[in-house]
Amino acid sequence: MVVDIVLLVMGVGVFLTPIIGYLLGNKERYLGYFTALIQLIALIYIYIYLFKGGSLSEQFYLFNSPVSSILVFDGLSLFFTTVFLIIGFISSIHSIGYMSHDRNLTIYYTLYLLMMLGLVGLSMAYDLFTFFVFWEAMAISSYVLVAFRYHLDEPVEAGMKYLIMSGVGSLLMLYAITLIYGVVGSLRLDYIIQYMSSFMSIGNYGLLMVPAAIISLLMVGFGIKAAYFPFWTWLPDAHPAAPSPISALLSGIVIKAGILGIMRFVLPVVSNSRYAASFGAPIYVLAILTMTIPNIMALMQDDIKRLLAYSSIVNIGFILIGLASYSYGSYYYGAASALSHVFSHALGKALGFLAVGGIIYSMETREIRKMFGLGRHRPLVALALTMALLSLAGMPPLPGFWSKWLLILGAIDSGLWWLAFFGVFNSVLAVLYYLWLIQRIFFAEPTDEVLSSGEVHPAIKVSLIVLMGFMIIIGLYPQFMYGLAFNASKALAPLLHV
Amino acid sequence: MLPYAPWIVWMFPLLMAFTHFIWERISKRLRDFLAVGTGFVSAIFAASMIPDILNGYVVVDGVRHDVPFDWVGVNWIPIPGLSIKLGVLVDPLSVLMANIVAWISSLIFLYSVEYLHGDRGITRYWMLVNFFIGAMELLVISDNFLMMFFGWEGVGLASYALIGYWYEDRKEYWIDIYPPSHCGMKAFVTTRVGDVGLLISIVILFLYSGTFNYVDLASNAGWLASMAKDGILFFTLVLMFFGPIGKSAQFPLHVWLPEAMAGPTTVSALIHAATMVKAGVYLIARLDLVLYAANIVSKGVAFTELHEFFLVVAWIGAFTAFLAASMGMVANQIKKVLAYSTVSQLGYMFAALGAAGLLMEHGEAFVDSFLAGISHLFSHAIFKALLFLSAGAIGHAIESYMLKDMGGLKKYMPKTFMVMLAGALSLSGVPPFNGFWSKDSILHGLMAEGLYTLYIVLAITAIMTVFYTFRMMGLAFFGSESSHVKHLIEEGHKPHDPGIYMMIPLWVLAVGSVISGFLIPSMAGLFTPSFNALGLPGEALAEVAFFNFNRFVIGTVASVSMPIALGIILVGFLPAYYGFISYKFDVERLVEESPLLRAIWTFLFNRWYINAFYYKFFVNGTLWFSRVIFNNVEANGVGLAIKSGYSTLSNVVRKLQTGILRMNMVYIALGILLILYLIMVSL
Amino acid sequence: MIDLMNLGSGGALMLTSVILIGIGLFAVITRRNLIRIIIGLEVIATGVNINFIAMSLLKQGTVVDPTAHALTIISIVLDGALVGVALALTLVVYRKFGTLDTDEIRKLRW
Repeated sequence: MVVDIVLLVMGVGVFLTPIIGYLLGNKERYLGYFTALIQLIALIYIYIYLFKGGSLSEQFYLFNSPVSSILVFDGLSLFFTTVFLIIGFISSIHSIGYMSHDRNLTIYYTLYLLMMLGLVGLSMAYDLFTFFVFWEAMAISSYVLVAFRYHLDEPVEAGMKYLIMSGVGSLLMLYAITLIYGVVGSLRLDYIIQYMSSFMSIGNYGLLMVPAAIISLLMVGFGIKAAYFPFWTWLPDAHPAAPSPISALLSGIVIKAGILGIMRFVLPVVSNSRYAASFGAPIYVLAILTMTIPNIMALMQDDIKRLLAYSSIVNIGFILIGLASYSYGSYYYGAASALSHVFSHALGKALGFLAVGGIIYSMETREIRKMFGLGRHRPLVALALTMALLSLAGMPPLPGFWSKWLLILGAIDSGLWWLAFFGVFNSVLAVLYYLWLIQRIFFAEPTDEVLSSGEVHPAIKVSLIVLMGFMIIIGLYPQFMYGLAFNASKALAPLLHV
Repeated sequence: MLPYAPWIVWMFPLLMAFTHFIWERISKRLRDFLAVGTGFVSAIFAASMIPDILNGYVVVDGVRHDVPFDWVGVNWIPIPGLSIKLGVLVDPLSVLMANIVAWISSLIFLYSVEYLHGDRGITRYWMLVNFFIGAMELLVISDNFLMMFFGWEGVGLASYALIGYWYEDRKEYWIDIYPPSHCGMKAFVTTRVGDVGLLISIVILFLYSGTFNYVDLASNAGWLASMAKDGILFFTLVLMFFGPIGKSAQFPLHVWLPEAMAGPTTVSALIHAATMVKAGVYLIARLDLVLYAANIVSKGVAFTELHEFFLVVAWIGAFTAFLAASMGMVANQIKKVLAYSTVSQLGYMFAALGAAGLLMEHGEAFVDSFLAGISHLFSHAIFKALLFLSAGAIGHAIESYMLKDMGGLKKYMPKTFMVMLAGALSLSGVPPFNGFWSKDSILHGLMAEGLYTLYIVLAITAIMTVFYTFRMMGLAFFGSESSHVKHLIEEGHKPHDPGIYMMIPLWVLAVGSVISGFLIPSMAGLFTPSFNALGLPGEALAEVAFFNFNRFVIGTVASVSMPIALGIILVGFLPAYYGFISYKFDVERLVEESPLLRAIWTFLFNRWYINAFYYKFFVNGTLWFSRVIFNNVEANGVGLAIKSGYSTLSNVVRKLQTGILRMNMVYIALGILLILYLIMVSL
Repeated sequence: MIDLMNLGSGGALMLTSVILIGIGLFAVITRRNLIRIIIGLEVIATGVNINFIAMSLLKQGTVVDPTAHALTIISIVLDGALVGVALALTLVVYRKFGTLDTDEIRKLRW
């Protein structure tokens, strides 16, 4: 009784938002509170359910017919729902301030909730088609949200590129789904795992081409969303172009939907065969490329949102380290480390974009050299940005450190020495631009733009303080993050761990 | 022990660090008072632990614990396979380090009150230095590698921010051609290179042993055997040694320390001489103890690997000592001379601790060398802080750190001269200053145990040490006034001794550099609980000739090492005296005229070309790589603005993001093929 | 469960879908006009949907599995939404940039 209630709450929210917006008329900016409330209710409901001793293996059949749609509430769902809803909640508070001068907010908040509904649904989907439906709901609303300020050039161009690339990705994924349907005869994950593992155990090299093709198509579909090598090209355009709270969602959680897809539908399938390492090989290679190249590209960026966007790609590379170590045999640490990094990066990157949102709100610029000396005049925003960057740089005891060292642990546990080396090497490289930025923000002489900057909206301040507080708690008490992640990794391979 | 001393000693400064911006609003004096007070509170708590160490037991909540006491506070992460506990270790090494850090920091804080008076960023300064001592205390007093690593990263961050403290990059603070912010970045990145190794090795150690805790590592030594069996023990330990190499500026990562002098002199004294750079030495000392115990428990299964590892440590230390001392002989800035000297003296400590590890199977020789290394750490902290603070007093008076801008200052700054002389004598190892006892015990130990090659390298280094010390003193205080000093006097800024806040710490340290020499023999008493825990009984310790007070003095004076020590001093002192104090020879002309001397001078002045090699190799290497990519990817872009290799590389690689939709589609198509290919190849 | 070696009547449909997807991908990669790219997307979508139907024919049994047909209809609906958004964006792009040539719409790069 948790899957249906949560989805119902979110769905009711999606339907009520336009109605309430219509009733509010020109006070539609208050919809932000409603959006935040809906997500908070969903989040609190989940934890009440767990607190009362609800099970972590609930299954829910949407239509009890041959076309059954199955949703499940297991550790992985819990993990991703928690991350999604926390970031979504804080971002919607931020939106109240950040979007206060925009029009068409009813559309904005409706799409916002629709995207959140899609994400929450994704984390619970247990068969591929349900997954695809939620995926499209999330994707289509995110295209529109990126191009929401369509009176500007940048969002329109970015949104268009995002749409075309992501659209191709979704279709390739759907093609893979149809092939799976053809081979397995069902789209339920447990059937897929069973059939595929027996199929692969035949050991005929020709027959193995079928799962190879299917999995590479799936990885392209998920990869375009998750933006790893070489599919990232839309990300540095789309994430900066979107309004800052949406950037926080995109970088914080939407790209993690691709990771969720791999964890839910690729890793369990391959890890139940004896070819797990073979299917992990592309993840291994892509992880290295995804970490290294954008890291170099990020160094000379003048645009702070673009810098953060490149850093998101780098962090997707870090997450892939965990997935690679899982498929190379570190079942205990691998997936948990990837999930921890999903968590810590979601917090860090969301905080980064929200802080930048505060800067843009008060100074209306994204150029780094115009933000010099911000620390003295906008201390809260500067502090939030610093904390975000330090966490991304892996400074103990912020969440970023806790996840990064677990990634290295997993990589070494599975014997992937190069991956461990590249992971650490890239976090050192990334420190170069993070620290440079922090130094300039706090130490440099304030620029004219900083001196003439306006006050930050209180809602923005509230969102930053809440997220910073949450990060400090996670940093000092990482057990919350680790507990969720290790729980989720148990759900990952049901047959292996039985 | 004051209640909860090992916890308060690091938590209190860390908490206070984040409150200074509040006190600043109330009153500037209150802020200064609290910042200095934080240091002293931490120091008092640290000092309160010494009696317990001497007693050999600690009483916590009415329960008596023997001294290497692992005080586990919180079970931080109770996940099986990942259990991490938060704890502190009360043992002689950590308590000694905690005291050195806290007391020297407190004195330097007092000095800073006057030194930085009127500086705009002083709140930031207090915040960072208080954060620094919190992190450093955490580093030395934690009972596991993970928390140690937290402190390790924290001090690195504080060091980075403090080197770039004068962020405006005003010309007077540049070191050679590098502005302070560049120096800070270089320091941070170079030490991070070492941290990479440290972190990876900690992770490997954790995978094999399932714990970070020093005590557990020492007592359950199964990991030693299994790592040796997998053949990665030596590799892991060397990786771990990368951390100390970076942090303590040993070859080949020594290049950052001379440039770290771009920060305020108090920072150089505190972080880059007395405390932070000792973190690496501390880690090796800790490894000495852990590996010694583990070696006994595992009955010497991995003895060859350990021996190889400590050979690396000792030789890196000895070579760095030699290298840095040779560079120090020609440095042109007083702070750079001191920086090279720091690197060199740290090399001595590594050599001693490495030798201790080499002598693991002879218990007493191990104790001997180990204590010599630790004693040198102790005395170096005092005299090097003293030297730096005196240099700061000179810089404060004449607004320059270039040796050519000094000369004849003895007349104007007699008190500064006195205290700095104490430091210089100590550094050159003149009895009865503390540097004599500790350095000589290192040399004596090496000779007594037959490590003659190490001994010879370090003895030659000692000669060079004496030379550069007195060269520095001569150039600064003797001879005639330089044009800069004359100019200052004409303008009415006659150089003068600093005021009371700066002089108190200087006097305390100067007196300390004499007195503490006589404390060194009792170091053995302090460390008795540690060695007892290692299975070296007290009687064995009493037999260690060097650390029995009576036999120490008599034995040293009467033994062969005493004449050698005096000979070293004489050989180093005479050329420096004739060249830079009495000006019997004109050194500049000598160097000009003799091609050999000039070649040596150029070679040393260019720092053996190691720095240049790094810049050429890494910076130009990336430049070349960029050009290759650039020519093949996009020809119509902007010209190559050559700033540094990495930023150029970045600008070139960014061109991959063409913004053309079709290109992106091609990437997708290629991506499908790449993934399919990778799967098929590895099936 | 299907017998891969004996595709039966689904084979022709599968082939059709592969051809359609190929054509669509070719269009998406080589064309510069946004409208053509979107048409390419649609061709891919059609190919994928046909493949779904083909896959349902592969299932052995007396009755054709209705799952695929139901899902295909849903997927067509989602596809419609995608194209709707794409065309709306194209409209805005044309207003903003005065062109639909994707090689010229590249303010965002590097």
